[in-house]
Amino acid sequence: MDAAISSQFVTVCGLTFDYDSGRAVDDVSFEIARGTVTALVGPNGAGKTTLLRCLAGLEQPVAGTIAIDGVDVLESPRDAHRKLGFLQDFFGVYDALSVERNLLYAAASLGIAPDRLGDAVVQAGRAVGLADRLKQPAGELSRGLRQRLAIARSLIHAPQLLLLDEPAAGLDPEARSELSGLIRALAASGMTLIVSSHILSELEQYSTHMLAMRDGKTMGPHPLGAAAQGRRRLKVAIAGPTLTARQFLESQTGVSAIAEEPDGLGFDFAGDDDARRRLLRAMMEADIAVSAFTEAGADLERLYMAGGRS
Amino acid sequence: MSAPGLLSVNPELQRNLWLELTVTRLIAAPIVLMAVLGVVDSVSNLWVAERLARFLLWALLTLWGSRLAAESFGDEAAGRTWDAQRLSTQGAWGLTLGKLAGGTAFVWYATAVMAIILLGLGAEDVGGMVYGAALGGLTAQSAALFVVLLLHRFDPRGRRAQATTAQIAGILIGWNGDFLSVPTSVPNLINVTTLDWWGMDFPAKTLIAAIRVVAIAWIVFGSMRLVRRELGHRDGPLGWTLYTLYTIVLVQGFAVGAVNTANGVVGAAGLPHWLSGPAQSLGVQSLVVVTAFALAYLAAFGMPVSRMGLAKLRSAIGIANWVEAWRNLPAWAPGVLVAAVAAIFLSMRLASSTLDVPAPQTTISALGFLLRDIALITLMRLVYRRRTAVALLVMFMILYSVLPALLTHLSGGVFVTLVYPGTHPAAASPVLPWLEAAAAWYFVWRRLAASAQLAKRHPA
Repeated sequence: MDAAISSQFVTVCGLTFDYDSGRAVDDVSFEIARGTVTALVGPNGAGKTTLLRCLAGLEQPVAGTIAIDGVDVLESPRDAHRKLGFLQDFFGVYDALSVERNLLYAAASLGIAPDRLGDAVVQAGRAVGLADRLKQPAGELSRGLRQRLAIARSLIHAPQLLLLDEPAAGLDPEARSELSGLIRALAASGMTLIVSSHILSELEQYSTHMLAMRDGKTMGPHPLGAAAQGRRRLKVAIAGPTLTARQFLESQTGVSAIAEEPDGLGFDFAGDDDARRRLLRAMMEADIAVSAFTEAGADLERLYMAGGRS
Repeated sequence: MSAPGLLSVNPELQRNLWLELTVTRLIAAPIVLMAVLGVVDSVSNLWVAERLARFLLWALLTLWGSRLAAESFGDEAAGRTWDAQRLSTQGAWGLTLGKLAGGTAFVWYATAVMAIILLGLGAEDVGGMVYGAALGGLTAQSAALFVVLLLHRFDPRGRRAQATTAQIAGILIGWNGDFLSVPTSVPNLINVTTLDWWGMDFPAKTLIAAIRVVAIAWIVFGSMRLVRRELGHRDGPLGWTLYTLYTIVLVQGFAVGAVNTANGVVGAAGLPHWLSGPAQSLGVQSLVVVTAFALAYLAAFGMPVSRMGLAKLRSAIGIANWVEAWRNLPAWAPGVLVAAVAAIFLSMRLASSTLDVPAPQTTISALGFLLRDIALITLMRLVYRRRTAVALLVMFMILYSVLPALLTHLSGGVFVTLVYPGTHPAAASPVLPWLEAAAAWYFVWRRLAASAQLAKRHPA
């Protein structure tokens, strides 16, 4: 991976795409920095999938330019494909082939050297937890495992940019949780990710920026403060007045941006799950009438509701 | 070659071989074929077994092979794995040959097995039998792959029906491969033994076979060009231009020299009046023009119109960016240029001819009508985005059938010259057809104005 830091890892300028039925992407321009995780959010039909397909070089826009790490996607799509991976909103795996052969084919078709094919397959299988199922036909895997295989295929050539279109669609809660963990791990490794999803609370967990899309237009990307600084937005529901709870929270380390909400308080919290558990216990010991204590997709959701909708 | 080795050479071929040549199939094919041919041989005779073998070879290589070739792409599009392949770094040649050879690997394996069984049974001319079936099968398979790729360009959401249409097209083309070598089919009908092509004598069968093999190569090349376009490359109508030039050179070659028949070398004198001497030469020259026109029409009908491509072309012409203009040029454009050169050349020949021939300006009129028709096809495709084929059919039925009948009834043939180059003396004037062409292209230009503005503002 190129060690050079560029603030313009993905550059989109004047991108316009038309379907027969109308304009899907309308004169869109934005830049995405290296190493960020950008949540691409918007209602159905906003143009998210079309935008991702354009970024991947799968669609030819009527106008505009796209550059990924300096490579012009429209002029040199094959060069751009070496730098990116794209997980679409369907699996697209070969059911009749084993997991190993699916990955071998993906590795070879992405130009990995013959002597590295075996290692690449093992590494990709391990990264998504499929190392013990390499000989199993893909058609026999569960939906969640097929999703993992599709992700492994997208990752096998160690791309610098990973595009994920509705990666959690159709997954059960456990598989979603695993997927979130995987995305966090990829982000931690320095990969740049663009994730399209309707599930804002999940995006909140790992996104550093939000790119909102509506009617073919984009807004952003906006930095997500809490996520960018390793903080999470929490919400505590209080039975009764919130004054005591507010004073208590103000005295706690790692708590900031306390705000009144309809049935309690919202606040940013810098700490892991254990710190969060200790905070809840401290509130209970302080006799604060906590009726609910949850994580809220507040930062992204607030931005989306405030800016994305306007 | 081991799997990793073949994977690195052609991943698509290896993937298809994994899917097609399973252990079960490899074992089952010889058993089934041996059982069928052996039983027929034992209960009847070798003659019946040979006839059955011929049918089985056709069924395997043409009927089933064309299906497998069409599905080698159709299934990818239907299973939405084609996008993953487009995202790979595989080249267009690798993908095309991987699909064609790998997707049909099983029928070729079964063919090899059948040839061995027939040799074991003592059948005669097994080589000739397999050669004929293989040539037809290869034609059908490559044509099926080409057609399914072409249909995908028209409608990327089309699924199973496209594979079936492509299979039928492949069978029809493979059934009579001479369709692909039309110029050589004509002398074949009049019992020709040798052919003079560009002043050189060739055995007719050898030349026809060679042209057919080259035609298969052209179909595979066409498939590769379509795959290349799918992969995001925009390098203009190079493929169709080369094919047009090849065809013109091929046909032009027969305008020179004499034709030998089975009754001996008789040259032009032994042929009918209309196909001898200067008339023969002029006739073949006319065939060159007709071929060029036919190829231009074929490209206009057979390739979808890209509104984005035309808008970019309009924009590129506006700023004199000729490289970008070439990259977005429709496939029919070079064909029209070739047709224009051929038409001008023919009109000069007609002008100097002492024979009773049409007026020289007729070919220039025909060129105007060609340009008008291509503009109308383009306009219809820009206006009607659905059921375009039906709209085009209706339009050309009105233009070339209903309207001429009506105009003939009203004017006795004078106004028919408004529609197509007829036999009326007024048809020779190229003014009206060229005015019609200019008007039709003006409407196309206007239609593209908005998109071209956008393309100019943010050149892709």
